[in-house]
Amino acid sequence: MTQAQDSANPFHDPLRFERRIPPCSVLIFGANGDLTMRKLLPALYRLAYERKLPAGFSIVGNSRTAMTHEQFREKMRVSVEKFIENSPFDASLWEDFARGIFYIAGDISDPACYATMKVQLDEIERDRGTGGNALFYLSTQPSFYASVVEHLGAAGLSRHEGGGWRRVVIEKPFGRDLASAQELNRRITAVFSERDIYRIDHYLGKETVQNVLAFRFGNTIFEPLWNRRYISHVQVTAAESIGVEGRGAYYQEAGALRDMIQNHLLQVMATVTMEAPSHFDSDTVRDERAKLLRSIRILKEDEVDLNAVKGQYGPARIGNEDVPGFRQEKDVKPDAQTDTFAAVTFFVDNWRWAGVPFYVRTGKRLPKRVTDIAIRFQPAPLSLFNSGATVPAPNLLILRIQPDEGISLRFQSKDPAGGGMMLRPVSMDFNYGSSFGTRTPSAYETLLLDALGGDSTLYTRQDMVEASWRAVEPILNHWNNTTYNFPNYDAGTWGPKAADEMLERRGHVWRVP
Amino acid sequence: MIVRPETLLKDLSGLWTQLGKEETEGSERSAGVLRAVTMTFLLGVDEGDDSANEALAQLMHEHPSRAIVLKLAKDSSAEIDGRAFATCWMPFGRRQQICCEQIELSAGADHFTDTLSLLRGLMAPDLPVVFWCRSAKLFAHPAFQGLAAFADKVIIDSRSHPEPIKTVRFIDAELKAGRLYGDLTWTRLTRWRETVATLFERMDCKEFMESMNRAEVQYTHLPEPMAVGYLSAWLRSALGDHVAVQPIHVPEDVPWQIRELKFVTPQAEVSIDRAEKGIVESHVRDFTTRSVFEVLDEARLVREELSILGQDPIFARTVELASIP
Repeated sequence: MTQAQDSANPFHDPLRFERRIPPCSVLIFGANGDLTMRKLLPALYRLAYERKLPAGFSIVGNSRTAMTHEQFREKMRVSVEKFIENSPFDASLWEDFARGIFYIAGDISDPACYATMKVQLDEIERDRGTGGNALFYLSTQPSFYASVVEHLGAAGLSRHEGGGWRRVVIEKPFGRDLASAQELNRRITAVFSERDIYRIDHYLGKETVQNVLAFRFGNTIFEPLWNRRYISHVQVTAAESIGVEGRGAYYQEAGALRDMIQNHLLQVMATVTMEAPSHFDSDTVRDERAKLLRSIRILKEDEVDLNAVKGQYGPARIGNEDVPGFRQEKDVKPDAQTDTFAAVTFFVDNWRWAGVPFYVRTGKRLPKRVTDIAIRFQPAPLSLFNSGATVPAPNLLILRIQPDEGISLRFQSKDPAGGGMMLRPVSMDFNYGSSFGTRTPSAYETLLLDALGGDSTLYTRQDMVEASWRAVEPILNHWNNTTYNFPNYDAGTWGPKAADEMLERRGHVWRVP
Repeated sequence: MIVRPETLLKDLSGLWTQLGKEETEGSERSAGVLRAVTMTFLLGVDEGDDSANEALAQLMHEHPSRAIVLKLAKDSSAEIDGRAFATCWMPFGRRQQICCEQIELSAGADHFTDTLSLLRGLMAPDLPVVFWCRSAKLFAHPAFQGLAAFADKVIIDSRSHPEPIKTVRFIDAELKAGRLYGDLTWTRLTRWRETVATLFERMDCKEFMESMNRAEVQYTHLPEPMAVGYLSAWLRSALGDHVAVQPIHVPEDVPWQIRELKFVTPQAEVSIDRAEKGIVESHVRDFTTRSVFEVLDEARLVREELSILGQDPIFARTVELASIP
């Protein structure tokens, strides 16, 4: 139960309107950056539009650029108008919302900057009734996370004397490897307690990822089949059709395994495979996710090549467009060894999943943008139909995360054409958009609202971060110590041939999403 | 003409086959037709009530249903008639049409009870049934009780009834008997109630609440509307007996509206009032904040009711208090 729900407000009506968020401020570090303008401010404005934010809600932006409050407000107005999705922009509401937006120009390595922030937050508390509640959102370069948090502590901003809450939201990546993640955590937990640290993984905020929990634990028909006895294997695909889009310098250092698999896709995999929590509260759900992540088998050095494939795209012509290879992208070294594609076979060593391969792949410049989870059931033990010539295609359950969010179940049906007992696979579809025509909140709306309400269910915990680093670290180490002959796949294809071979060794093939 | 359930269902079935064929043959880019049904939605209307169709079309996008429109014909002696058709739309950016099935049954008041026996065979199996009785005449018709008995939830709008307080007392009795009802007159108040709840999250307002001794609901036109009765009852229920809740008529040359809510202690007051169109302002000391009150059409109100298909204790308590003379 969140702090907001704890408070005794006799006017609450949880059936009719959203939970109430207590009055508070959000202080955004890196407020002049892309994330703030494209995601955070549009999400906060949208929450205000839907009356989900409290009266007196305030935003304080910080970056090094010199700007007045008014200039910052204007800049935010332009970005909200531009990036707000599927929502109207109401000038009159903006006027009121903007009254609660403030700006502090300053260097985050300068203690004086934090003293100014303290004065500003105290003033907001006095004038706008926030009760001292504040959320610090770190949208800066990851290398600054620890020092910003330490400065917050030193300036007395991590605690509030009047009993208001203080929380910190950290964007991924949480370290570059296990050791750096542990070091980052050590420094942050010296200032904030774990319950006040919100490590954001926006994949977990996606409505359809949350729906995986509803699908599994709100229905009874699939859960009995959800184990090694009935499931042959699982494929998780997160494909992007675009390249690095001007982020070559960042991506060159990160790579697909770090950027996607270590965090987003392992969290998705954990959601699909975790045990049912005894309660739907943040600690219990996260306990189950963490337990699952700890059960992932750690590959030995000599197992990496058989179970992980590293790829990098080369130039190609897609349609009537010549697409550059990764090494030809801006700010990328001509001999970069970065993985723009990664495919890994994971195993979960517990009673439910022992022996079931989880094939996880992600990449840039693949044929289309799609994220889905395909659960392939065991084939029928005996081929009775199609003259016994072929084994019917096994049942396939597809959880579509994006786009066309929904669920499909493929099963066999008698083909009425041609006579005889000829079977043909057909699909039963549930489509989010058609069954629930309502607007789906963006992942950032969901996650910001959760952090403001004190609900960390959809945030990652340090033990989860460490467990997922442990799972990918042997692969990273092996890849770092090997020189690859890149590129090894053309832009616009489904990745290197080795990724297909990885499945073929177990008699499986990648499905085409 | 004799109207039989199996004929209507056969027509529906034929319609789906035809739609699928048209889509498959029509365009290479087409991805076919998606048949979507999440409930049986009964809509009771008067003949000529075109705005009901618009609301229904909007609702189908978010709650695709087998919609059965029960039309009370102007000619009271008109015999029962029925037809089946489908409403389809193509969501933006998609290649697949979504289609909902609709059945229309119409009859005059003298024969309207005949619809009941037909309905038994027309419900979509295993799905909830919701009955939105938009027609005040149908609410007063003997067939209403039979129609309501089919439904898991009945939605009405007491403000459109000749004596709203009688309707509210009827709802009170039905709720106490364990049946589920919604009243759009109450649903329209959600924005006000939400704004009040938000305001009293402020620390200074929580302290304020302890010494509150009076609350006012100001409205613009007589006779006192049911919405004011509901809002006053809700405030009484939330604040308890030590706070006097007073409906106050403040005449104003505007369309009917609730104008202001005021919460008063011996020393100070907190208020929420209408500012410009679609906006309300909350005032606490010298602090003012705005909230959007977008215009809510009936489809939006019904959608809110459709999201609650179980007991609604706050509504039940409010109805009980509002029913007391």
